[in-house]
Amino acid sequence: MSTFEQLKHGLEQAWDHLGEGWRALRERAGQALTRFHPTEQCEGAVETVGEQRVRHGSRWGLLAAELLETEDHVEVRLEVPGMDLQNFDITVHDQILVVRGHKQVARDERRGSYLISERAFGSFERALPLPAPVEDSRAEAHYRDGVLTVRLPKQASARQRRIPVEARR
Amino acid sequence: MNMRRYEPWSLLNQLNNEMNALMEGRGPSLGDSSTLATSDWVPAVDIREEPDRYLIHADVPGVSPDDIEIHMEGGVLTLKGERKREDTEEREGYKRVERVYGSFYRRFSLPDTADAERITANSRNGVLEIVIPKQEKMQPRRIEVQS
Repeated sequence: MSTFEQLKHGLEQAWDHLGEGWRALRERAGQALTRFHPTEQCEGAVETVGEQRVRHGSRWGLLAAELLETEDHVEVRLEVPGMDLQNFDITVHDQILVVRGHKQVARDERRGSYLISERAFGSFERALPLPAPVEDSRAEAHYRDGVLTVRLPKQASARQRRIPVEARR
Repeated sequence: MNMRRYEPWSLLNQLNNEMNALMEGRGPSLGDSSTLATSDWVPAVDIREEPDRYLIHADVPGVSPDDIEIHMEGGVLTLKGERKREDTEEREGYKRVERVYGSFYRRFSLPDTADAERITANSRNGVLEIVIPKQEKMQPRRIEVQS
């Protein structure tokens, strides 16, 4: 086989894999597949390992979410590993929960050379529609083992009230 | 039974490796992406080489450090663990379910320079860090030039 044919064959194979992988990923991940934008600007003339890491690393991350609705609140859990608390920005706009964040390459992760880089770095945004209007002023969020949990109390009007039926004689 | 699970990450990795090999004429890389049928999901990892050690960072959100097992055997490092559900009951109100629960499994063949005896690991904010020091005799040594 000539080099050109080899290259063509290789590319076709790669393309098949990409198509297949992409379909599987979309199917499995749904909307969890989130684009990460590089936020680290090149400061000097020479690119640092950190900047290189962001530029060459994965631009897509899986931020898998889970939404649970109970009678009086909505709870959203989002998998975002490796975040610093101050880099979260959580807001509610018209029944949509928006989680923005910025995932930095740690200072001590800027040495050496990368053999494999699959983890995504940079800034991301995920918007999750909520099933009911919520009181955003009373929302609570906590972060544990890389999972962000946001608990939003429903507005009084949205709460389910069970009306007891009385028997009348 | 020979069942193969569909692993989007490993497919993408494979693609990445193939593209790299194609473009740069490089050999196979350090990672062994052979995930077995026993894993429900695969954590994304970074592997970095420093002059005196190798570092592995794996994203394992929602996995308690107690549920992670790391083994080193015959030059192969195995990571496995399980993501457990936070609530066992109350399954009704779920309006969106994207998170995958269950076990993960990933193996890497380490180079001969790795010092298996001194591997350490810790987990923070859903990121598992494994430090693999290089054997001392394998570390680069500077040789002074005498005048």
